[in-house]
Formats: sequence, C-alpha cells, structure tokens
Amino acid sequence: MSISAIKGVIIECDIPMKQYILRMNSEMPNSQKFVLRDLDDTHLFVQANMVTLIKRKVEEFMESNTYEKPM
Amino acid sequence: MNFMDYLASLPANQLDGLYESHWTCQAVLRSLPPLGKLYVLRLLYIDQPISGKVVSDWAKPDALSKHAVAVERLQKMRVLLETREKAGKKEVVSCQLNAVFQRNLRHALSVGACPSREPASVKAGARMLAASELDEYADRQWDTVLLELVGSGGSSYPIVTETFQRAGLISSKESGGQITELGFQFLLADKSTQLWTVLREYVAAAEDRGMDTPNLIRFLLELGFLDVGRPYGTADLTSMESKMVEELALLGLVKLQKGTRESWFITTRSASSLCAGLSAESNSFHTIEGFILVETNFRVYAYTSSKMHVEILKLFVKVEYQLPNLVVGGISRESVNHAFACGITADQIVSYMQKHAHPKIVHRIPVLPETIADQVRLWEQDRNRVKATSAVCYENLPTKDLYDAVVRHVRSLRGLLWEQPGQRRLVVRAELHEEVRNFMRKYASSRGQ
Repeated sequence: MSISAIKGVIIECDIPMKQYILRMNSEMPNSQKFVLRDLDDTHLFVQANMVTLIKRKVEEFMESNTYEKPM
Repeated sequence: MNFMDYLASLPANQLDGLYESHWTCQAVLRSLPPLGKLYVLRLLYIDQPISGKVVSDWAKPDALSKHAVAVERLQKMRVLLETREKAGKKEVVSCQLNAVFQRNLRHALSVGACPSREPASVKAGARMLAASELDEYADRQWDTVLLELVGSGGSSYPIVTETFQRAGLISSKESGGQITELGFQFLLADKSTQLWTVLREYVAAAEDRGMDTPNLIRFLLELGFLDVGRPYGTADLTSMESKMVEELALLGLVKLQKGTRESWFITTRSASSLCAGLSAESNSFHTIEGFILVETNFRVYAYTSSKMHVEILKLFVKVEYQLPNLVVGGISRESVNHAFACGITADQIVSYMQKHAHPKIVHRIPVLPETIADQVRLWEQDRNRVKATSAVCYENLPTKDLYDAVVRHVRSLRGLLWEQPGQRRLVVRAELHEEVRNFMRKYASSRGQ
C-alpha cells in the first residue's frame, strides 16, 4: 500500500463534544458526511469546508444548554 | 520594551547620530543599571582605549553576572565600544567609550546640564501648575484619545487616527476604520503600555511624514529632563518642535497654553517618565485611582464619570443603570461572550477589574472575588471547547523506521498534532505538507528504495 495524505482539519475537543459532532455527522445525508477519520476519543479528522458549520452547530447546542438568568 | 530598548534597536550610525545631543547622552546614562553608570563615569575622562582585561578585573568573581549584564547593556547602547586586534597568536580586546557620547556627556557634566529652555515669563501669565491639576489634564486628554479609538470621540484628529492605524489598533480607512482585536486588547492594557505603544508608532511614523527622526527623538528625550509643571515658552522652538508639541498635547503628554501674546508648554508626568525611558514598573503615574467594585453575585459597581471607562466596561459588562457618577451592571455569560468575540481574553478582563479596583476593596485578598475570576475563565474555556486546525493526515507509512523518522522531524518543527504509532498514522499542520513530502522522498532515496 502506498502512503496516503489526506487534507482536512483536525478537531480537538472533549469526549461528549466529540459524540455530539459524530451524531451531527450521522444525521447528514450521505453526500455531506464530513468525518474523514475517527482518530480517538478526543480527536476527529474532518473536511475543511465543514468546520464553520460544525462550530456554529456546537455553539447553538451550548447556547440551548445554558440558562441565562434574567437580569 | 521602553524608549531605551527602542534606541538600542536602532542601526549603529543612527544611534551615534543621536549621541550628538547631550540630552540623549544624559537620558541613556540615567537609564543604565547602577554598575553601568559607574563604568561610564569611570571611563569618562580616559582618552585612550584600555585593555579588556582591566575592565573584566573590575568585578569581583561573585559579581560577574551583574558585571556581564552592565557591560552587555553598555555595548548594546553603543556606549562602550570593543575593538579586537590580533597580536601574534593572542587576541587583544580593548574598550573605549563611544567618542561622541564621551565628548557630549563631558560637556554636559562640566558646563552643567543647564535647562536649555527658558521658563516662560510670569509677566505673560504663565504659572506653575500643580501636579494634581496636570495629572487630571493628562488623564482627560488621554481619555479623549481612547474615545477616538472606540469611535465615539467628538472631533477627529488625523494624527491620532493615523497612529492607531499604523499600530494596527483600528483597520485602515478602506475597510471602515473599525477597531481591531488588537485595539480591544489595547483598551484594557495599563496606561503606560498604551502610551508607549502610541509613542513608538509616532516615532516610527515620523519618517513617512517627512519629519527628521533623529531630531524628533532628541526632542522627546529632552522633554524628559524638563521640570514637570513648569511652563516653557514656545517662542524658541523650531518649527518641527512646535508641531510636535501640538501633537503631543493631543496625547496629554504636554499641555499647551496661550497667553495674550506668547504661548508656552508644560510637560506632564507621563511625558517625563515615558521620555526618560524609565521602565513601566517605576512609573508613578499608572497608580491611578480605581473605581470598580465587583460583588460575588456578579454585580459590578463602577464609580466613574469618565465616558472612556464606561465604554471599556461596556465591552464585558451589561450596563443596567447609568448615573452621573456611577455605573451599575452585571457580568453574565452573554456579556463576556461579547468581549471574547471582540478578541479580548478572560485574563485581560480579570486583570482590568483587578487593576482598577475601588480603593475600598483594593486591600482585599483576592481583590476580585474568586468566583468571578474563575467563572470568567470557565466561560472562556467553554467557548473554546472545539479546537480546529488545518492539517494533513498521513496513513499507511510502509515501515516503522520511516514513521519514526517523520515523527521526529515533524516534532522538531513543532508541527505534530496527533500520532498513532500502532497504525503508523500521523496528523501534521497543513503548512508543513511540502516539507513532509520532501522529507519522505529524501528518506526513501537515501535507503535506495
């Protein structure tokens, strides 16, 4: 087998966050799957063009998870 | 970095040119470490070079490190010049003071460092200003400059805007002149750092504006020697100097006053410590009166009437009430997220609140309630839960030797992001792709594969 080099973006995050991103990936239609390699518990290798989307989704997710007390 | 470090970074001939003015010589002498001062004075009246061995014998063995620091500083400022000559097999080192520096410092010491400026006459209405009055003026002026930065200043001074653009604090006119990340961080820095940043850009910009840089530096250094609070007439300033005085007045470094017939300028404390190249720690002017009270329930009370302070607070505090001398607000996840989005870090927010703590709480330990500091940092971490880096993933490396060699090489370039020796898989920063490819190719050819 010859050496392969894949361009992309490595994402480093905590374990639950990785699971959330994986779920996001599985919900995508086949043509838009973005996870290229599942490296380990805290690392994912994904397509570069999807990074902004991932970040936005993660932010929305965290936003929905926090309670903002009314001032 | 301060003024003297800036001088040391100038090219040699430019620095030598600056020593033509005895103000530079005195300012440099004043900025030296104690041992350095001693050496300069020791060598001042010696005309011929002395051997390097004599110099190194001056220090006792246990003080050699201090000696080395002093000599290095002297050489960096080009005050002490070293010449090496080959005499037979041995190398002879001889030391001498910079001739221009020596001549001018001697002159200054023997003739007396008389103030070159005549204090403005009392008749014209000039009077000494009290320190408090001057400080207040300087602070007010500086606030106006900073307000310019956040874009809510009244009138526009082109020179200030230009300087901010050069320093990268606001984006260029074409892209809207908006405040940048660097600009937000600048707002939270302490005043001496801010002043120095602006002054350095001012000096750097002088050349492009067709001003004579050496003369400009010389005049700035001279300002450091003028009596704070004493009025000096502007009549005997050169045209460039009076232009500078006007511009420095915008920054609050000097105060310009006009009488009925003549005008005069007064240096402030900021000018004297900044221009004398004293380090930030020794500056007395940044011990400003604090005004912020933070409670453990995330409420912030800021006793201030300065528009600038309010603007800065608004970066990370949700303001609820604003009274003439009091701002009440709260710190929340939303409000600090706004600050993070502007490129401000949690540490900067925390240190700003600590530095500007109200005198009533300044003796508390810690000044800022721990819950607040921790929470602000936690919120920041929360934002950075996902870290993404452009990279290349290499797989199927044929041998372990190749894999190890590549990992070592990439690690030495600080480009290794992730590795998995079992699978012989590694992830490297994207910008190193070419480098890694060439390395693998070279490795293969050296093995004859």
